[in-house]
Amino acid sequence: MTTALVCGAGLVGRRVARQLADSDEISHVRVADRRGRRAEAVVGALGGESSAMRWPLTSLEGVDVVVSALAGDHDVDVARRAIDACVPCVSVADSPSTIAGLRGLDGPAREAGTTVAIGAGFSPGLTEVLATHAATLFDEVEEVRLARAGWSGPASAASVRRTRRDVAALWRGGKWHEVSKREEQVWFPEPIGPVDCEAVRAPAEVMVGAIPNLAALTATLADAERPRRRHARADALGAIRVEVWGTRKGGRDVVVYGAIDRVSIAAGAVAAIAAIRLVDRARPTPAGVHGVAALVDPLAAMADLSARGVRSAVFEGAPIS
Amino acid sequence: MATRPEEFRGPLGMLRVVKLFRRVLLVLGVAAAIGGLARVVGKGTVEPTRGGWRQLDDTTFR
Repeated sequence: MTTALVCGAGLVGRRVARQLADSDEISHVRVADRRGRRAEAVVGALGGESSAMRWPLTSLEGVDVVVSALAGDHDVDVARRAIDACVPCVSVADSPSTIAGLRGLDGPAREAGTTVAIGAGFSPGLTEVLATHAATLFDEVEEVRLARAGWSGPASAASVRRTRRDVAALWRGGKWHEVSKREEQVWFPEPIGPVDCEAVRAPAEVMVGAIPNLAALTATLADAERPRRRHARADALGAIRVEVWGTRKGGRDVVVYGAIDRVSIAAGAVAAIAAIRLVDRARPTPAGVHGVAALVDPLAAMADLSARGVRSAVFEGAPIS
Repeated sequence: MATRPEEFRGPLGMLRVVKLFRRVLLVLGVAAAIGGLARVVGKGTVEPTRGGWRQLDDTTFR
C-alpha cells in the first residue's frame, strides 16, 4: 500500500489530494491542515481510501510521500520533518523565501538519502516541464523566457505580490544580474491574451540547472489583484508562456509553449505527478533538493498532464510573405 | 510713421498675451502639418502574421 500525505487543505491542497486519490499508484491519501474541519471536509469529498491526519504533524509512520501545499514558509518545516523521517517530499511553494529555505535543506536531504522536489506547481513547475521539453528540440539552447499570469486564492495572490516586490534579476553567463523593474507586455494563450508582466527572480531560480549550459534565463510575472474579502476563494484562471531560443538545423529558432488552466488544477496535477515519481521504487530519484524538471521525464509528464486535463499549447506564428 | 488709433491700443500685458497665443497656434499648426506628412509619407509597416496557439495533442507526446 502506498500512502501519500497532503499537508494543506486549501485550493491547491484539495486538487493535489483529488489527483492522488484518482491515481493508481497511490492507494491511500491522508490530509492534514491546521484547521482540522477543513481537512475532514476534503477527506469527506474524496471518499474511499482517505483519512485526516492530526496537525501539527507528530509522526510520519506509514507515509510514503509528503506533498506540502501550505501558505507562507510552512513548507520548509514540513520538508524538514519529512527529511528527518526519510520520507520524500514535494513542495508547491512559489515564494522566494520558501524556495530559498527549501534549497537550504539540500545537505540534510542528501545525508538522509531522500528527495525533496521543489517548485512543483504552476510556475515554477509546469513552466519547467515545458521548457525542458522545448530544450530537447534544439542542438543548443541560448535563452529561456518564462512568464506567468494568475493565482489561486488569497495566499497565492499574496505570494505573487511578494515575488514582485522582491529584487528582480536575470540569469546570464552563469550568475544573477539585478535588473530594473520595468513592465513588458506578454501574450498568453486566449482568453488571457496580452498582460503586463514584471521581471522577477523566484520562478527562474528553480529553473537554473534544469537545462545545461543555459546562457540566459528570465522570468516575468503579472500582478495579482487584491481579493475584496480576506478569505475570498478566487480560483482564478491562469496562464503561462515559455519561450526557448536556440539553434537547430544550423539556424536560430524559437519554440513557444503556453498553457491556460485554473492555477490550482494545474498546480495540483504537477504536484501529483512529482509525488508519484518519488514513490516509484523501480526508478529511484537522486537524493537532495531538486526542481521538478530534474526528476520527471518532460515528455512523459506532459502526456500525463494532458491525460489529467492540463493541456499545453504551442504558438505557431510566421510572417506572411 | 503710422500708429494705431488710440482706441485699438490695449494695455502692454494684453498685447504680449495675444502674441504668445499666436505663436502657440503657429507651433501647433506646424507640428500638425509635420505629423500629418509623416503619417502619409511614412513607409513603416507591421509585418502581418498568421498562425496562433495550437493545442498539443497526443501525437506530440509519442
